[in-house]
Amino acid sequence: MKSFAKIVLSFIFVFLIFPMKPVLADYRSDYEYQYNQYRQNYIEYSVLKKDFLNNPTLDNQQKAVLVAKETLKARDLAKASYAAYLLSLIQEKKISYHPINLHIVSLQAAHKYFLSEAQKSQSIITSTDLKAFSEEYSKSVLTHNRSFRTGVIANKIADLVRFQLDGKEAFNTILPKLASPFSTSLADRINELQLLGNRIDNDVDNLATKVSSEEDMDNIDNETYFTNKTEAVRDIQKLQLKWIDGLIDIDINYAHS
Amino acid sequence: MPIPKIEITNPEAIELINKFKSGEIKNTIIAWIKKNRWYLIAAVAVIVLVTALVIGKSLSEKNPAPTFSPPDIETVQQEENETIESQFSDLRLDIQNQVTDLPDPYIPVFDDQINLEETIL
Repeated sequence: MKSFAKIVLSFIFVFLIFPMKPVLADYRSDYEYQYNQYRQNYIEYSVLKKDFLNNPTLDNQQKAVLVAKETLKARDLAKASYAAYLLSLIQEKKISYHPINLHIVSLQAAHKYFLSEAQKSQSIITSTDLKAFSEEYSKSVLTHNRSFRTGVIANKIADLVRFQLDGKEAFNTILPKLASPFSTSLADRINELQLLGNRIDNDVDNLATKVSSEEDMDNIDNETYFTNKTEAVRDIQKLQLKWIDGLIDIDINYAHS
Repeated sequence: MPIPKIEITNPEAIELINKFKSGEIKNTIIAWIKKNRWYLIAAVAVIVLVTALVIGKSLSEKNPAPTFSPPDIETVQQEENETIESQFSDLRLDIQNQVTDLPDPYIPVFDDQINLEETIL
């Protein structure tokens, strides 16, 4: 009895010294897992569908319907986890930027929709059910699929906004360290920095407005949809680098002296 | 005090004194010197040389030879500039490392037409 108590106490002691960290799956790993499941199911579905089309027996049909059901579930769970992943990426920027709210709401709706569809697909029994489900799905899914495209850009805009906020915070940190009254050259540099900062803010706003515009929404399925956005993001990044270089210059030459 | 006069009575001493007086010893010595003059000159030369070396060594020890070092060659020395690291360098790195190619993250491809119908390409 005494030895048992010793063992228990040893375990408690070890757990107190090395507390176990909870293993939390993040949104990215969840999405990767679900997408992998979908791919595996899809391969199996493709093989059984081919078997059925080559040899359309009732048995082959039943097998193919069962695997198709699993594939539908895996697909919609993968889509839901991708939406959750995008949402987590945006949320981790910890920003409040009104122009991207619309895209966040779309992603939330898509997440809910795909979870619901994953569940709904499990009521399929026959190949007719499967056909009806897929027909209905292909009509209603477009809006939610598009939310991925706008969501990706919203995430990038969130990145740019985060940098702008960090930059402003850095600017406010440096100001009290500067000897006042400011010399003419320092005043000029600060003025230039503020003007550049305002210009970047405007560029980010313009990009966000463009993504939400009707004209842009009409072209959302185009292959070139991301091309001009990539260019815009790249231009803003260049300006942000120029801005931060200006701030670092002030920090080194004026705040450290 | 008057110096007492010494009378030499030893016959050998008297003989030697007589030989001195007659110049016999002197002649013998001169003859020997003449005979061995080159040996003597060589010995003197060696003695003079060794003496000179000893004197030179003692003098050199007193005054050590100056150390000669090569003249300074003008080399370009890099100035040690004090690098001031800005506290905002990390923020710059974050901006620089931002992926600008869209879509990022990549949008996966899904088949939205899962059914048992024959696909017409």
